[in-house]
Amino acid sequence: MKPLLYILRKSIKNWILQLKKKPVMLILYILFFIILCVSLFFNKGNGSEKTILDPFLYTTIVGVVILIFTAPDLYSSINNGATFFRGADINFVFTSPTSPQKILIYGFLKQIYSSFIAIFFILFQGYTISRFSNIRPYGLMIIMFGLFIMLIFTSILKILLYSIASKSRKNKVILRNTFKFLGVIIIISYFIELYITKSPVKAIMALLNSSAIPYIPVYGWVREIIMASMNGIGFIFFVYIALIIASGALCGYIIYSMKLDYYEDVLGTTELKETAIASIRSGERVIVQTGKKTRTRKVEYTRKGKFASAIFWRQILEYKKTGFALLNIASVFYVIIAITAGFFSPVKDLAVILAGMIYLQLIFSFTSKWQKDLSNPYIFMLPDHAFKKVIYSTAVDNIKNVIDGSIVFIITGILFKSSIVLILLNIIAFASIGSLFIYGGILTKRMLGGGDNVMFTAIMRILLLVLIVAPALVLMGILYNSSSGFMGVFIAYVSFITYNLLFSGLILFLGKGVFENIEL
Amino acid sequence: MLFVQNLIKKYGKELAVNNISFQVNEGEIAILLGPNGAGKSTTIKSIAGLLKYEGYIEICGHKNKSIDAKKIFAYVPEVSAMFDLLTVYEHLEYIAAAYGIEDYKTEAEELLERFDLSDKRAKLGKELSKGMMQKVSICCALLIKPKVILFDEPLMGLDPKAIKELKKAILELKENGASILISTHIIDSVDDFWDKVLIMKKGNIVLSGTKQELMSRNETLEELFFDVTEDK
Repeated sequence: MKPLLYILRKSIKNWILQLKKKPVMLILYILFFIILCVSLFFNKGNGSEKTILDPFLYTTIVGVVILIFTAPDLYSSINNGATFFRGADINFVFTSPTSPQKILIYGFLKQIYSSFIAIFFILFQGYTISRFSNIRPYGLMIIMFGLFIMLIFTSILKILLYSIASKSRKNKVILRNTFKFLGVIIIISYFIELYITKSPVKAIMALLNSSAIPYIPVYGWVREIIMASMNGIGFIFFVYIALIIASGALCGYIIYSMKLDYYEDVLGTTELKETAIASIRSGERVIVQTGKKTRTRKVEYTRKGKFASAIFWRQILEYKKTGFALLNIASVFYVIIAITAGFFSPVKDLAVILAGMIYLQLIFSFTSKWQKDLSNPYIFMLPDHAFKKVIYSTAVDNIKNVIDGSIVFIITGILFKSSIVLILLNIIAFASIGSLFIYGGILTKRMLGGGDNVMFTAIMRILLLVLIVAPALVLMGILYNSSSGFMGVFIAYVSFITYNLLFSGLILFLGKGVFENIEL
Repeated sequence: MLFVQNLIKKYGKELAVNNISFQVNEGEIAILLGPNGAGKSTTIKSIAGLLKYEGYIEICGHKNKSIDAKKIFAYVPEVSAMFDLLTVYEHLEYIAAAYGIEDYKTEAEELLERFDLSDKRAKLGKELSKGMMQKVSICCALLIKPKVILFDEPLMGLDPKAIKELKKAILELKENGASILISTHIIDSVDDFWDKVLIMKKGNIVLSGTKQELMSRNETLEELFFDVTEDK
């Protein structure tokens, strides 16, 4: 075990030491820490601003978060295996004279570190949570603790499920069917609640507030632990912790005493993980398809452009292959969002939809087409001006923003009975902040490069992007809230759009060299 | 012609390439040899304009990062990367468009045939094996009909037929007056067709010369390599 701990110890030490060589990253980490402190300690709303969080709604949110964080992860662990390891582990650890059990523990320790990092970012929600008067002062710590032990237990359970599934084909089928059976029970329960409540939202809330949930092992207990952030800590809180630790220990013991031979399965999974990490690092995509053959349409490559414009037409071709012109699966997603928001949004205001869409845009800004082009040398070597390369490689992303914006705002605009001018303003506002995200993204890519730590680099990029777009959002917020008539709203939108376009242009000039050097 | 003068490349404080100068004339095949970490790939990437560096690099009279230079030189990287959603043939079509090449179809077909890719022409980039990616990458580079071409470990992952064809293609490029720079650490793979050798060690060129100049030493390329790279 000693050599394995050596790897962990040295990895952490070297990560810290390398910051000396990368002052930009160090500054950003410090910046990140300051923002975190500000959001935690200096931004707390005063008593008069505080509101009450509906316990029914809070329980639902906690339930949804637990489900989202665990169910897909556990199910995929049966098929794809637990992915604690990296390529280097396979080369140097798997081949070493160390027992598979010890290697599993080593993987598990690595997983604890990743879980801790993931939970760390919940601290950013400190401000939101402190706004509610019925959340305890130590509520945030309780939430973090609850999610942390949940992620750790899930990691152990994933290994156990995987170990059982990898023993035989029959086991895999049984486990898969068990999950499907549980899924069917949830769906049936949902429809029963839907029949009783006659409301899709109320049905979900009723389902997740069921009195049976605290009896569900571990995940029901985790929910109860997190709910202590509202209800306070009592004796039962410690009982739940003890139960979860005991369950984890039991799973661990079972794994340890099993005759494990998981290396072969891990090889394939780790390869996929390496591909995924490489993709994220190069900004290609966040989700990597696993082993499935890509479905593409047969499309003629007719218009090809010349020099830099060839990038634009190649990207169009790629879109055509995976969808219809620039309409793809993301467009379907936006249609669903627009229809849902149109019918169920409690506030019938397009500005609220715009705010939600900007948030989505921030999340999806890492999957843009221009980022994929950075992953191979062709774009750097293409014989054309740097400025033209940036313009042509981002044109498709800009057009896509106009299309996505049109889909969402035309649908919600019609359902909200908004005026055509307002719909148009929202589409332009969405597309303009989209271009700020694109060119801001190019600038952050130039500043940060690929980065060694995928998660931290991604967070840093998000933070930088937020800093770039924040003035536009503040400007819009102030002007919009202080406007009384249509003219005021119009001025708010026009100011917002003007800021976005001006700064996009400015940042474009600063970041245009991104396609000139592969070394960022 | 490829002209490199006082090339220096640092990664942080680490000196990867230490003030090297050389040139590769028209119709000349230069081999860049060296042990791992000698600075070969860094040199090649600097010439290809992919890295920031100090010094001066010229390709047929144009600065290497200029558009005019980029139009006439090609680079085959050590690790090939493809566009996931483009087929093999579409990669060639894209390169033709990106380099403004009008009549490329016959040449593209010949290249596909030559490197056994004709039946793989409809395969997507993400479905290709490493070797096949390398072949596509070579075809893309050859389609440009470059005046200067840089190969970084070009034979890695290729099957024997592809190796034979690539060597033939390199000799054809030489006959057409191209300047060719091949970086490798497998001496045997280039022993039969080099005109000039540049041996690197720890970022420096420790030996350079043409075949004629070095023949007087009565040593094989491998012996020369070990003479200058092994610590005594």
